[in-house]
Amino acid sequence: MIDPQIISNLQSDNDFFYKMFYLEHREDFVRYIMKIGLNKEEAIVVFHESLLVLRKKAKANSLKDVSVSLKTFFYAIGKYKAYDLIKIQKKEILVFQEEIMDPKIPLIEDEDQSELIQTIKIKFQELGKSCRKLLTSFYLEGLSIKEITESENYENENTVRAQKSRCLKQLKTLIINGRNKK
Amino acid sequence: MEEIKSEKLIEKFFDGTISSEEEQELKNLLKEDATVREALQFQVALKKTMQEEDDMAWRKKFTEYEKEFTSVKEKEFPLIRYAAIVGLLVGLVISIMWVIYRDNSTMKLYQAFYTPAENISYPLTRGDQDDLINLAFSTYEEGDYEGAIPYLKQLQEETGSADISLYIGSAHLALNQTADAIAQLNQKPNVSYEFKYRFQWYLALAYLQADNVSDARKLLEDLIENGDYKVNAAESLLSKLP
Repeated sequence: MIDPQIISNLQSDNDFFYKMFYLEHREDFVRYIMKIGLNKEEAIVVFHESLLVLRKKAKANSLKDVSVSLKTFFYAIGKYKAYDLIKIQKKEILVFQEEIMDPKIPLIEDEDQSELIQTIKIKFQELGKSCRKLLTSFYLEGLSIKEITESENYENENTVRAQKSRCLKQLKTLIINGRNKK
Repeated sequence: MEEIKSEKLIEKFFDGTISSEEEQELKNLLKEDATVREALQFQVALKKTMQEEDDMAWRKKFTEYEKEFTSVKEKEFPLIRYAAIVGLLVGLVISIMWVIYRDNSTMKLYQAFYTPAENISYPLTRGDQDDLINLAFSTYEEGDYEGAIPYLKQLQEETGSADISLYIGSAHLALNQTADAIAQLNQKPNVSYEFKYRFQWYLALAYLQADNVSDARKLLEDLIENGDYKVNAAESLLSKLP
């Protein structure tokens, strides 16, 4: 069970919280990862990536259902991240048979979207402030339409849906126009 | 109508509230309808873009935190390092001093004062070569202490004489078997009177070999005060003790 206050902080952009969390866990976590077989620099990278995973999980509201302590959960993320890195490096290590988390089967095939992603990065900045905020709240912050309606004082959920749809259309148009100019 | 339905399903997919039935429904729509597929792919790309940007920003922050962490540790570590180095140096100096001191005083003193205990129990005579007494003491007097000890012990067993422990102890001392020497030389209640201070002298030497100066000192002081064996040597040794 993870303290709801910590989950709330992990969901936020609270710089002070993250810095304190970093300083509190950095030493032990890196030492733990080094025991798995990575060097210090690699272990620090794993620490950073694991923090990002923890942040994403908090944003996706999946930390509420975690039955173990935050430390256990966080270290487990680190362990799998370390194994991934070792796999990439093709290091020969003894991997113990342990329960491995089931990866979520992707709904759509993982196509190479790198070009589209690069274009979105540029064109997203050309959107108006309200569109940027709405899309960020929904796609990055993981807020539901209902939560956005309440937090941003929209009239109702359908207004938010309509606005989101308009923003997406606007972004697509910006991308298409950009392509046509080339 | 279909468009609204697909939009609703995509919305549920992104906010994580989609059920398995709805997910199957969305999968079917994705197969059948290219517009739905394109819409979902675009939104997935948008989400990935935002996550990548967010990850990049936080990686930068983590790098800054790491610098802060390292600087804090560096501030903490020099003191610990200096303390450790000083501690090691002090330990090293003490160890060296101890070795020099031990070598120059107790061990050297022991070596200077030790001579094997003289056989006063059984003066050897020619012609009794097969006798156990002769075997034990001739081996002892030849300086073959390792060979002499079993014979001496056998002789002690046969005669029941506690005095023989003096020679066994002395042999162990010569072999630097300090603990065995101390065990043999510790005063036994039934040793002859003329052996009492001989035992005491060799036990003092055994303590010296064990670097136990205080017990050696006590024995020597008592020997000087009350004894009748190696009194002068004991005085000389006592004056040289550290």
